[in-house]
Amino acid sequence: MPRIACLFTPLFPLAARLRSEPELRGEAVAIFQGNSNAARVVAAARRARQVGIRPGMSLPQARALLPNLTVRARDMSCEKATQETLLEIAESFSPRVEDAGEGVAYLELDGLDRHFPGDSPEQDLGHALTVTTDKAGLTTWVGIASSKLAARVAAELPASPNLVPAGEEANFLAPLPLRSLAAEVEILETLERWGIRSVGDFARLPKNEVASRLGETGRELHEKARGLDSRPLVPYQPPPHFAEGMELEWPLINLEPFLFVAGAALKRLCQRLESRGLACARLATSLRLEPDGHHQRTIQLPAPTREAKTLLTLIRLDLEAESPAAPVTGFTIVAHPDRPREAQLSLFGPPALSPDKLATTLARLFALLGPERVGSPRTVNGHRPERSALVEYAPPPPPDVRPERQAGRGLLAIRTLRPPVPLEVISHLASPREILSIISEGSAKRPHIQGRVKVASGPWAMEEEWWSEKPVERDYWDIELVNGGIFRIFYQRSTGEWYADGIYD
Amino acid sequence: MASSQALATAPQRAFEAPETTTSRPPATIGTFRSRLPHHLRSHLNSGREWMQQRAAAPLPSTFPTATALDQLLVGGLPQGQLVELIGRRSSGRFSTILSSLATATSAGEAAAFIDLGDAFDPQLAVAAGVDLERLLWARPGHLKQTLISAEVLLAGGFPLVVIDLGNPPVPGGRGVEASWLRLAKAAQSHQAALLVSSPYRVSGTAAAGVVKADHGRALWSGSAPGPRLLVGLSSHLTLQKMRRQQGNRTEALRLQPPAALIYGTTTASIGNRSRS
Repeated sequence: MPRIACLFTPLFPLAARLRSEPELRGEAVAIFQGNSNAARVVAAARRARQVGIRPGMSLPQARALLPNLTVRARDMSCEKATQETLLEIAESFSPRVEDAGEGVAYLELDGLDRHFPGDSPEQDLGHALTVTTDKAGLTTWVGIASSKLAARVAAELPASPNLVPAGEEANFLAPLPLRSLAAEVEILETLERWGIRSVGDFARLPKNEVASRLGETGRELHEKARGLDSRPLVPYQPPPHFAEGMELEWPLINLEPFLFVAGAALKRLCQRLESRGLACARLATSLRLEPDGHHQRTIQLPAPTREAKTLLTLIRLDLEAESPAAPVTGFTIVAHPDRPREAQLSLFGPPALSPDKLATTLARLFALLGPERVGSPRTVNGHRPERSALVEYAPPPPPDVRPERQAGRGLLAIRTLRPPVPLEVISHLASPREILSIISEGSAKRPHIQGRVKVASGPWAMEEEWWSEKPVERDYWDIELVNGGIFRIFYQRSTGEWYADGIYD
Repeated sequence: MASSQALATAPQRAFEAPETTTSRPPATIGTFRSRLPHHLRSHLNSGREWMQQRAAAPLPSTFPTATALDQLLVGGLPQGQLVELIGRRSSGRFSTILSSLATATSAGEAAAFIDLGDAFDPQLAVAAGVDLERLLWARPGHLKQTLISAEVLLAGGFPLVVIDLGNPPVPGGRGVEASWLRLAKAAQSHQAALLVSSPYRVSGTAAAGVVKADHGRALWSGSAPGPRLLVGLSSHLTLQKMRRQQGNRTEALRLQPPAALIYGTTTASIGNRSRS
């Protein structure tokens, strides 16, 4: 029989809420479900329980006992994210995990004792599970046994982790009431009519007699009562993305309070990604609006990253650019994961950029400048000097050995003017003699060019795309002005206009 | 009148040493230091001591640029410091920064170019020897964005960050000196070389070094009224300021236009041909 560990989160609706709002820890908090008079308490924190607040009480009853009780509605998106986190933690220990819902997860422990070589590997494993869930902001109890039922019952006992020795499951379960078997009501009623009160009483009945009278269901129940588990764990299929969300207590109008809660959610999201060795390649934000609207945004990242601060900046800039049309009542942030970039370090070559840092840097620059203004430049076929292309920046790994630095080529570079500056040109015998940049709207932000021409060299004809409807036909001149500055100007044959498109610098 | 004189001299007397203690030597830094607890003594330094410590500190390693900057800055751009290169239009400033980028990227290093004036020409950069795959090109629209981008890139681990503010008018003017100080601090903490190319001084006291590109002189082949051809630009780089180095040194800068490089013609060959 394989050994099975059960991770059990007591008061799961409350634990999920406290994971999202850790500042409520230590407060008298109660989680309720339902509306107005039908609202009932489903879980209460220790301070609330101390004054007598119990699950099932109505909200007015609870408030009558404790007027300053902090109440929160049950939040299914929080609970879903918490359950996924619990399962991710279980998966980080064992590949065989079953999702039992509502804060319960089972994991098979076969072969894990090699990772805990102490005197009591199961005890050490139980402690490790508790510590890991604590780090994720969850209080979880652990039970280890050879059957799911025994493990579950052991997990619900205080002083975690609780171990049931192999073969002792039947004795461990024997004193429990029949209802612990979570069986169908009909069978339980039958057993009670037979005078059976505990699991032990039921386990002592002959196996074949139980099967002949209660059928297949009764046989399975009898096996459970004897501490046997013939069914393997139902494999857990993790979702293809990671989601965190929250229902807000009241609708938010301003961006800052929203970013405060979204920042905490992103931090949790990044922790989950990091625990799986993944990073966020695409971020989808879904805002629920008052009364029943939705606002969906998707941000494609230039490179996978798991830095919460960067992701928050991206969300901020995105929402500033396109704000939701109504107050926000809840949100879900979904991270589509991808493998982070990896780099092999070199001993003798130049240092490579850290892929993580580069991803963060690019994401920040994208957010600041826009994707069309950041990247790696590329050459473009053609003759127009202003042509350029931009591609994603993904530098190749540096060479293994640092190459010799080459001597400078002494190139006289040209500072391209994008777009070209329109000019008024006085020419003599088709050669420019005096130039002046044309003043127009927006020209105050462009370089002002004015002066008599000292030397002019040209024209150099340039033709491009003669087959198209708008061919480019220019006559280029290199000119030096008397008052300083060497410019590249051109005469556009199609319009008869002059432009400056470069400064030799 | 007498009473006002008395009032005026009263505070002065309060700070004067009493006559009985005139023989005591004046308080020195050593005296103050001896009165401090042991763990605080090393934190109290005189100006002279601070200067001595600074002079004794090792010189920062440099980032070669294969330009006249290497001679002026003794080896290249100092890592962890901000160097400002100033110059008017057609002074050779843009050619110098392009050459720095070419040297870095061709040696396998990553480099970032923040191009406020959107003046970068990839075709020309390839001719200058820039490895475009290793170059990150950012085109901010304002000086504030430029400064933030530079800080982000320095934090991202780029060993060389070059900022070009273009020609006047610079969108955003000179910026706030505190921002430049912050940028210099970022360069220092990440040990990156930071080169700022600007038409005028912008970084104030944040710059560890300032190099001025003098007004360039165009070199033409041929003579009027015959055909002319631009064959180069001659300029000078002058070291105006460099921490712990002697200033006012000058290096010649001689540049050739791309056509001359691409087609293999040199200033000398064109000059000879025009003469013949």
